[in-house]
Amino acid sequence: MAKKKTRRSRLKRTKSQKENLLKKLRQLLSVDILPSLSPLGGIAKAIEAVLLHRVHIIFRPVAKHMFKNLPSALTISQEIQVRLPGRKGKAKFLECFIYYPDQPAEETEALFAVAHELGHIFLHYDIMASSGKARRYVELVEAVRKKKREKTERVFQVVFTAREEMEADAFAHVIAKEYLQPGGPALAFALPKAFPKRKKALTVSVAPIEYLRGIKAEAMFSNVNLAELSQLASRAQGIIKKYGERSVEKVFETQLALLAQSLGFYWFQPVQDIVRWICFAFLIILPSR
Amino acid sequence: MTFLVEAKTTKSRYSLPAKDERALCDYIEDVKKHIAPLPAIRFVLIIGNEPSKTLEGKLSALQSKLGVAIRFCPAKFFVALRRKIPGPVSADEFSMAILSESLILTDNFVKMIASAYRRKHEALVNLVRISIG
Repeated sequence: MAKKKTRRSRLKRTKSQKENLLKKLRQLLSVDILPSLSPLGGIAKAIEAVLLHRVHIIFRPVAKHMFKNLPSALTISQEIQVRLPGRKGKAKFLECFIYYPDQPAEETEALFAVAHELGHIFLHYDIMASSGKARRYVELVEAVRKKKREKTERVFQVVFTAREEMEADAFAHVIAKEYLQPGGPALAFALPKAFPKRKKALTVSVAPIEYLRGIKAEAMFSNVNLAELSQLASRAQGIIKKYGERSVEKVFETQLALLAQSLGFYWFQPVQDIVRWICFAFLIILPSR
Repeated sequence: MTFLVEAKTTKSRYSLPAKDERALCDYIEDVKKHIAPLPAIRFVLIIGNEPSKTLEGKLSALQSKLGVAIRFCPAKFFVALRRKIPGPVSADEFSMAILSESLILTDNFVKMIASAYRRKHEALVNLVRISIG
């Protein structure tokens, strides 16, 4: 009886702690992040401010105890209005905040979290919603979670237009490596005709310090091959043999794209397709002491 | 901050041949037209093999012609930057380090960014330690 009572009171306490933290996160989002996001030029500032000043200080001590048994992602979303060029009136804008605890379950879990957040954004965005594709997208993301390979391919069809584009994206690269078997059926990355006006998602990735110190086989930026970069630039004989005369330039570009993302920059390619809308998936990983 | 990265692979030292210069001019003009809603281009970073002796002069002329700062970075220094910093870099420090250097970057810009990163990281660690108690 006493045991039950203790457990109940512990659960109650944890619940109230979680609610408090959620409240703090919401406050962080509305006080610190959102004002910096508008105008869009403040993106980098917002990320730096969040990373360097607020999140570490406020949440690290609390989060360590509280997020042990929670999923690795937490979504807080809030609509804001942003005037975008080339569009009539104001566009809806939704941002997602993903908080990743000190001890994540698995790297891939975090990637699914990002995919999941993208699902929210797609669902929210009126073009997707009106075409009825959004629900399907969310289903697909669920399929990714359940590791159904054929559905995973379709998720990429929605998010990326070309294999090259996917390969230059740090998140997608890992998911693809994890779930798409080499030598499998070629992926058709062309967007369905239902999306004539291509919309791009922008993920903001921040290199987790632990990954870069002891890079694991499938970690986020493990595809960055630092040893090869200079050789690619100089078109070394061995490199040409490995990738082929024509592919060296492309591999070099992809490597630079990944490298730039690992340094915390966002990558647009090509520039003509510059984003008309932007979604944010902040993956914030706190450094260990 | 927005900057352009131009990737160049060459067997010999890179010298910005006329066709590359033309393509880069067109590319920059095109970007300028389509850049909104992002901030204007702060600089163009060409990353490639080692530079040739004539490259600096050509970059200087191109810079004046386009009105945008242009820098050339041998790929090995970009690699060195990644190796020295175990995380993201500050966009402001990155651009400041690049723009304070000559047209052809040396490892000085890596050192500048790395030392700024170290200072900030140490301050942050101390702050977190104090906050935790």
